[in-house]
Amino acid sequence: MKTDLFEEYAGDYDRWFDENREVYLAELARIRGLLSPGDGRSIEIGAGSGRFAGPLGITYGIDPSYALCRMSHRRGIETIRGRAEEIPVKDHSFSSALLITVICFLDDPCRALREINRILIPGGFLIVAFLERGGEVHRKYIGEGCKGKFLSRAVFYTSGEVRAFMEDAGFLVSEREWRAGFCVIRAQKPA
Amino acid sequence: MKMSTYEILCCPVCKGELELKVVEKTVLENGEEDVIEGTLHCEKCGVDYPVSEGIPNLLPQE
Repeated sequence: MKTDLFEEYAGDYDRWFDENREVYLAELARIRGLLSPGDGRSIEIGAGSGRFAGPLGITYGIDPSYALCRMSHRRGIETIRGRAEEIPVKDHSFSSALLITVICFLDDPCRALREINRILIPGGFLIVAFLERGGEVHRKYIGEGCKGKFLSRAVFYTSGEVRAFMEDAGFLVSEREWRAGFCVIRAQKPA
Repeated sequence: MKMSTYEILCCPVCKGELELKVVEKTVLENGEEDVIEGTLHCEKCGVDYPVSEGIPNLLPQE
């Protein structure tokens, strides 16, 4: 993961969610709509400062940035410092996983998705949310202020590309919705 | 790092078991132990992964 920026500007990253509260809450609501209620064995991969895991009731988070891990830990998330491409978790440990605006920062998204598949139980599900390449949000934030600082380092994909990555990693895509350039895909590991 | 978390952790590289050494811990309200400082040792890789301020650092080491 391209983590050096997040380590250095962790405070700026976290403040974005307060300064862009409407966008943040809209993203949160759309992800919540695709979550199964009351899943206690859920992990967010690339949990950042815990801005999604906390309100979504996700118990576990993993992130490579120590500064962001400390923030999510303070928000009550059980936090593990690690990489999505080499998840330090045993097979079949979780029933669901989330990857929210993270796929664009991964060094190897296909490897990360295979790792997520490995740590899920058969029948477990994954939600991937991301800014689509060329989409409204992507175009708006590039070159703009704080989030632009992070997004300028990102590699963006279309929803078709992400869907293909997920299927290659062994997932069955069940739902896909996109609005205003923010795409949310729900997929299942075959039972 | 809760003890229930330790049970699902593995080495990021070889995916093998990790041996926990506790330096400092607390007990949570539900009675579960929470490791604040310690190490997670992978015998196969010969690597010690630190647990610091309650957060296990399982980034692969060079």
